[in-house]
Amino acid sequence: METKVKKPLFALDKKKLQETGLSLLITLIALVMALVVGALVIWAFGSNPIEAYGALWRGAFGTGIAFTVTLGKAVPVMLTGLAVAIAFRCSVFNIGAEGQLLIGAMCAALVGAYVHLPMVLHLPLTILASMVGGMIWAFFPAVLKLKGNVNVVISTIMFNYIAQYLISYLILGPFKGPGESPATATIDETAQLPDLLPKPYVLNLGFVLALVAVVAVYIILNRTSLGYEMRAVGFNPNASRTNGINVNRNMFLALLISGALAGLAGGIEVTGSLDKIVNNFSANYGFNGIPVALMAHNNPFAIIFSALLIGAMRSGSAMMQSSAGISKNMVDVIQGLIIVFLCAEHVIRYYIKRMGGKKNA
Amino acid sequence: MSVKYSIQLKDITKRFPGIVANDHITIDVEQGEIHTLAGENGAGKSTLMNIIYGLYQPDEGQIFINEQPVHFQSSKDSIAHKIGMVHQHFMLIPKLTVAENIVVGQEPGSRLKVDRAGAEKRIRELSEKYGLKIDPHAKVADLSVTEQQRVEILKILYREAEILIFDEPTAVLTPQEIDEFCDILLGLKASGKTILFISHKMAEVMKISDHITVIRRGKVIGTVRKDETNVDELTRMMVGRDVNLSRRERKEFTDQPNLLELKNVSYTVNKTVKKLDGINLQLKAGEVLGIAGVDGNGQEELVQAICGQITPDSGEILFKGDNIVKKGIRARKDSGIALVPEDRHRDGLVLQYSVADNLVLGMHYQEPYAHGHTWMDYKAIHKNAETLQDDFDIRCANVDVPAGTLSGGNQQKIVIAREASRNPDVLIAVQPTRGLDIGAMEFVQKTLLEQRDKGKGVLLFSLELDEILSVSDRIAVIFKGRIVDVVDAEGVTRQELGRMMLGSHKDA
Repeated sequence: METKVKKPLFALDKKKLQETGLSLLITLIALVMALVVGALVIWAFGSNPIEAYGALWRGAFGTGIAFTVTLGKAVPVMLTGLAVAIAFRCSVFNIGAEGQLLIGAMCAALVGAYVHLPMVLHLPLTILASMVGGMIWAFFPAVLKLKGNVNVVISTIMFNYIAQYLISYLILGPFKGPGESPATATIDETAQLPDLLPKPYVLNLGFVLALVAVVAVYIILNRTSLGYEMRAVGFNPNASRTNGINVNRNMFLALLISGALAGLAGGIEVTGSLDKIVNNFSANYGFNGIPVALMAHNNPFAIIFSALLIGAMRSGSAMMQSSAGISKNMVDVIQGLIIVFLCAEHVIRYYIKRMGGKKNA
Repeated sequence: MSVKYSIQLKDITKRFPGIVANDHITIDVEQGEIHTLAGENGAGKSTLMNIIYGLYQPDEGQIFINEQPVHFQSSKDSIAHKIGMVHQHFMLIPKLTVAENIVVGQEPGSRLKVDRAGAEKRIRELSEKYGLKIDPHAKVADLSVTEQQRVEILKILYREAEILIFDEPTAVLTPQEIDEFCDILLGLKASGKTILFISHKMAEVMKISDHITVIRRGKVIGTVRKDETNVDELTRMMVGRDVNLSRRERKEFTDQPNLLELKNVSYTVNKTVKKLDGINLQLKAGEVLGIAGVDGNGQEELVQAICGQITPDSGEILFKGDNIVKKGIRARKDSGIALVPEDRHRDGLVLQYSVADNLVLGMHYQEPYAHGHTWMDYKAIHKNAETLQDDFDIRCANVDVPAGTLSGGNQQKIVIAREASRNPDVLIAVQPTRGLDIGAMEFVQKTLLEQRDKGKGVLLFSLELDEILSVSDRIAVIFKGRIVDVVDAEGVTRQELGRMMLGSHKDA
């Protein structure tokens, strides 16, 4: 009797494992293809791709310091990746992580600079402010969706621009700090994230916060009734509605949580490394959340690794530029290629199946 | 007398990992006959059809077409042998016209210019010859399901098919449409085509077949002549035991309170179309109230109004005496109204979720499945699933597989099990046996009657008169958003119901 029950369980595990393996393989293939095509582009511009990639690797992982830089650069994209992923699991396309990150950063910068409290209160309050800021910026598109059925993709993109110019105005006008260049005042030391490692290593508590966020998102999605509902809505809104799940409420909440995560990314940037807001401080961290989530198939734990990959390219690109003479922007090209090949998932799947089929025949 | 055979299958065997889908199947199909392949869902009918059509290759055995051995590598080969197949799910492009859909892939004329006029003329001729009544100019998106099916038939006729395979063509049709469809098949047969027809609906099988081959669990149980068999025998062959789908004895119910009462409920869409027009209805405890009617006469809106998916413009819906018109979907479900929706894929299940997760959908935030409305208890969910799996005979490897991997009948059992496990006062079942094989159908109907015997009210919406007649205690007939009449199921005939479904009172 017992063996009867156990056997199918084993079969399932094997199947699940196979599916996970296949997903992983597809992601790797997309990655390799992106690097190969990227190499062709580098070669076409007259440089040596092996040298370029070598420099990229050294820049990202070559030394202990480089490695901590990579970890640090992974933090904001890990959070915006989580933001994109949790919304996507509920069928909400949040393209506005960039704007939410900017507003979150602004809120953190203001609370950090203008509120004065002991660190135990000031730092958490500043971090909280960034999350609230991101949430507020997601709140508007969420309400527009709820009340006017405005497409979230469009509204969140538009809110990115609004955020960008709002920030420019604020750091030139009302909140311009002391000094010549347009920037906010430097935040108090009580609002700055402590370092995890002594200098010259550059890694602060933000990395731990990002990992906590990963676990939190996993728990929300897989251990709470909210996550059960959000995923159900993502898979089948009709069946969800019919069975008493409030579809709009879940999409609304998904977007707010997403905004909070993106805002947190901005808050960690400000409290962890920037200390203030300068113009164009975000290196598209918000937008990079999209490929990070895509590569990870919206799985929170996989996002750690896809964020590390993007972080490595960000930190290695400087070395690639200085030692191999290839523009930093090349990593954007490779990132774009990764997205293109990941979107071709079904094509890759088809060819893997066909190859597998031939073997069997 | 020499009989010519269009299709002969000799010992066809097809294995999939872990299952023998077709086990030494031998069938002879005579030229010019309608040969029905009957069997429960999962018996291996579709696999066999796909083998004949060249989509699968058999592991063993030999196919003969017109008494010549053939080896099909793809559907191209079978089309070359004048075999055509109408799939259960249509393969049409909605944005194109009928003519464009039919010629697509082999456009007549030169490479640069499609000979539209010529193609349309031929299609029109074919349509008239077989009484299909299809305008080649019409856009497929504007056609009804029946018409789209006829376009599929035209498509294979246009390609000069002589052997026509139909994979459960009537699953998507209403009773009236099935009658018309049967006439079309008989017309095709009269013009000399050979037809291989898959179905498990006994009425139509007995109406049009010459021979019937029954398959069960991948094996041929037998081939019989229509004249020499009857419904009971065929059913026994298909299911492997006796099945009772005829009228059930019913418990007496007198002076039971009204569980659900609709008073003058109206609902209008686009300010002009009255979908519900002053509906008055009472559902008592301990009865099955069947709602009969031709599809599209307000049944869908009636269900939605009771379950809270739409708000009626006027009228009251009383549930256990309280007006629930203002209550939301979840509040109504929690107060004791359960629903088995018509489309289980769209409204009943989250196919990507496991069987276990689907079995708590809608109750997932309550004890014992979630603590404090927040923390999911997957152990409790799993335990619940294993209990229901046994009680409702849901066949799956285990309750952790995605619901989408189960057969239609077992998917429906998930929905029924879930809704019954809510222990509702009122159970609304909309077309609960649609697309199910006889065994599953019997089980679903039995469950509905069990609910009734427990003193619940069951509201059964069905387009199948047989089902309405055999399960209901009383029958309400709906026509153009109004209840024409409510009659006792005892002593009403199909003919009377049929007339009422078209709007006339029983006594008229």
